[in-house]
Amino acid sequence: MKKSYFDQQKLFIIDGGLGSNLAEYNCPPEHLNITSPDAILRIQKAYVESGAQILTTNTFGANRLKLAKTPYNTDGVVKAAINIAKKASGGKALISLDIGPTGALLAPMGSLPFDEAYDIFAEIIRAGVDADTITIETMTDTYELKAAVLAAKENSDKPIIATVSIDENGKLLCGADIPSVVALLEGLGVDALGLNCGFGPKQFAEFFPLLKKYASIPIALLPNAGLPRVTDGKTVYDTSPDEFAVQMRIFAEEGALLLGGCCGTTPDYIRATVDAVKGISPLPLTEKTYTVVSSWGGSQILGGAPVIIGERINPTGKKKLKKALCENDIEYILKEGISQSDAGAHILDVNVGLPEIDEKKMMAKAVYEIQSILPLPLCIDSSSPDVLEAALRIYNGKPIINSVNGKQEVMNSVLPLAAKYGGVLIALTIDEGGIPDTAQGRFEIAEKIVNEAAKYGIAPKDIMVDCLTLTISSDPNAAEITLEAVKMIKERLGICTVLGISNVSFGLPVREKLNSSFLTQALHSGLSCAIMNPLSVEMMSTFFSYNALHGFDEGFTNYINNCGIETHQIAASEAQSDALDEIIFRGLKNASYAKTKELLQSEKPIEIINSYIIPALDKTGVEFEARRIFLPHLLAAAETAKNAFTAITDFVGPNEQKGEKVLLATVQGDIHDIGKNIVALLMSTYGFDVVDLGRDVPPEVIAKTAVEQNIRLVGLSALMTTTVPSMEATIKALRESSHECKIMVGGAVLTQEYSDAIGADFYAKDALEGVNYAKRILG
Amino acid sequence: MITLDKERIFKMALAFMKVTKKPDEFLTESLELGYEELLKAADFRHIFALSDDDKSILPGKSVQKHMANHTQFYYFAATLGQSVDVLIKKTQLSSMSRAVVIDALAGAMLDDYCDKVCGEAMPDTATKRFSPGYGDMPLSFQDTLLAKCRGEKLGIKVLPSKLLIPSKSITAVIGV
Repeated sequence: MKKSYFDQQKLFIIDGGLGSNLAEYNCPPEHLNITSPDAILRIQKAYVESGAQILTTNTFGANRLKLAKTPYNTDGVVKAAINIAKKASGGKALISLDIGPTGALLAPMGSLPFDEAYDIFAEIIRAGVDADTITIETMTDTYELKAAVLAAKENSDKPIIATVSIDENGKLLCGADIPSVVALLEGLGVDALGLNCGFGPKQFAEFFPLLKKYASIPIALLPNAGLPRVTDGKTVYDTSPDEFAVQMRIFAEEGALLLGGCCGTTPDYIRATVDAVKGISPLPLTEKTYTVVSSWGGSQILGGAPVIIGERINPTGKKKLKKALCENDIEYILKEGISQSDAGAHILDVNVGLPEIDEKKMMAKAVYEIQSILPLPLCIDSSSPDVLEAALRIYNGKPIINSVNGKQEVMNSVLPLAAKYGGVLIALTIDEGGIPDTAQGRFEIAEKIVNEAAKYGIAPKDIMVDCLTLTISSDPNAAEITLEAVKMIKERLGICTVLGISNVSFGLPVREKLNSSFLTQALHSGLSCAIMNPLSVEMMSTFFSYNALHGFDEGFTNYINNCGIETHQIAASEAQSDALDEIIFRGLKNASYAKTKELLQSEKPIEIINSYIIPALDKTGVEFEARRIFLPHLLAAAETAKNAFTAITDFVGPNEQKGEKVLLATVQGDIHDIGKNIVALLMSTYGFDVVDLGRDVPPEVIAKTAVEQNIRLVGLSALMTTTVPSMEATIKALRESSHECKIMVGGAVLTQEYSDAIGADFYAKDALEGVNYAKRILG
Repeated sequence: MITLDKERIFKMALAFMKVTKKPDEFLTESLELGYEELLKAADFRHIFALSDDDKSILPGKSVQKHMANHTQFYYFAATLGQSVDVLIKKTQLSSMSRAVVIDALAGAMLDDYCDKVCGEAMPDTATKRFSPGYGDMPLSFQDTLLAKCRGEKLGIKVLPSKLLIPSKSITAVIGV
């Protein structure tokens, strides 16, 4: 761990919540730096007089999003605020540039791109060059927090204090818990971390122990003056300065280093705190040894109960994934992620290395998209440092970095990345001399990597050793050596280990038997993480059995649920006794693939399509229109038909002759796209080649795509009255391109009248009407 | 702790999906499964703020009519949180059919949750919730309303298009 600016020689007292002193002005506090600088000066002086040693600038909301539509800009507001703070300080206090959230939600949950958030923060940081330190505070989203810290690190060399605001369950609004916040911030190399706002000191006391348990760097605590209540139209807080200070003293005694206040903490609170902590010397920092990886949705602690890293997002030996990567088919990758997550994977490995594609671009996209739907931490897997960096930069949390090894050149290029962005490194026990054929040899490489990493400030806990699984078919002792090395790493280095399990059986039949047995033995040797296929029922049974036997499965929930998977499969096979058209009509998704495969033994694909699939879809359509079945039924049938088509494609190979293209998009400004996705599913089931541009798509992008790909039907969706104008703009752009195409529109607020008014060719009141129109137009 | 009315939520969800018949086994099972998943994902939050503004600040004739017999009013916001959006997005990839059911259920669940918390906190004489977009109350009032009740504390944001995120969020005013 690198040395913090805030050494443990003395406590630091930070000022209180500036904003709550300014309520009477009834305007955003940042404006006062320009309009009433004296008011700010007066309050900040009072904080300095009360004993604050760090004065935060009045710049919480001084970002260009919040200052838009005001006469002010970031540069002017920040510089003015720093001047005021300096004047107030008179050299007695450090000046900390204060940075709050942008006010917008970052994509993919919201619409503000990560890079733009970074730019917004960077602008503030560059304007605040004259401050002594940087305070990033009240963050409730790990992604925004990362953007701010990264911007600070790359645009300044000032020490960083980063604090978050948690809810009553100890979580951020995005779902991250305290260990994941600590992991992220320590990984990024801030100088102090902690909590501010949300609650008073009493509630902070509940979460401080957890913070202390995981954090190895100085802790900052800035509670509110208790909980707010409104009396006579004014917000007042329920904790007095003395009560506040009593608790702050306890925090100091128990190891917090930076103490201050947030909402409601006037100079009186700071004065009382200064008095209360007099004479307390800070506790020495202790390096915590938990190995933690995280994402926006939570943390995974390694080294306790064993953990599964799902291996399936890796094109090696996987034809379908290779094809998906070449065709930019992200949906396929996401489905691989979901199925592994559902099967019990704790972490997902992501490797998209193919010579035919731009790996860097694809890796960043895959990581971003997977993180938009799954809360699992990811293991970023590439042999190219460039690719690793692209993913590490945009990853939301602290990932696993796969991998570094003992070659000096590789260590030179990968270790700096881990030091900069944070992450748990997988260290392969191979170097310039190859893979040692003794456990001792592999141990020595691991030790070498740990020592080299220490030069970059990377702690041993952030390294996980892969002792390498080699196949027993080429060396009968291979498994023994690997297992021995795992034991040595655990006993002598005391750090986590990881193995790719299935290599052990390469070249031998009935591989799952060997893999399962090897997994048990590896876990027994102390393995922390198994890289394996979580969709293998046999492997998962082994894994859950091991956990049940070793006290890692409370109430045997996972063991029992794992048995449930088998029951489910039996149910699916029972349904296969039905005819395929009936299976499709009833939407029995699990049965249709197997049934189609069975039919392919005796019937030609075209016969299956014409005698079962098409009639079933037609029947579904008729029943839907007659309101005897409803949207969920229609969609289940479409998905079931899709599974049948997949079975046929798997049997005869992909159909080179694609259907007529249809462009679909949710218009600019609109980010809810379930309606458009329903249409896309149905269109593709009926054989159309859907070009789905996604959500929030600008008019010019839609027009350009329609022209370039010569698409004759464009479907647009809008959910809100406020986005219908961008639908109209899109139609205009398409018409002006003089490209011949029909435009159909749909969405919650659309009506026939609306559709006519904005010049659409067709209004589809539901998805099936859209499909029927496409059939009529494109035939 | 708020107790939700599952039966009512199912009824509303079915109505959102334009289901006009008694649900069959498939739908019932989808509803039950979806309901369980939603309860796991949802992070129910709400906030009330008694306004010190005059009700004339509320834009539109319809809200004025709605408030005709009341002088004071509350600003209100509620949300099911980001995880519900993630659940709906994720489910669309594994089963669009189930995603449609969960989407409808989530809307219904939010509505029922709001009814329950308002029922508990507001006097019997209070008006029903009135949200931007109802009658002639413009969606552009969303920003003001959210700021007045500090809805950002719940993680609710307004996009330039006036959509709320998380998508299962609501803002409203209530006359008391």
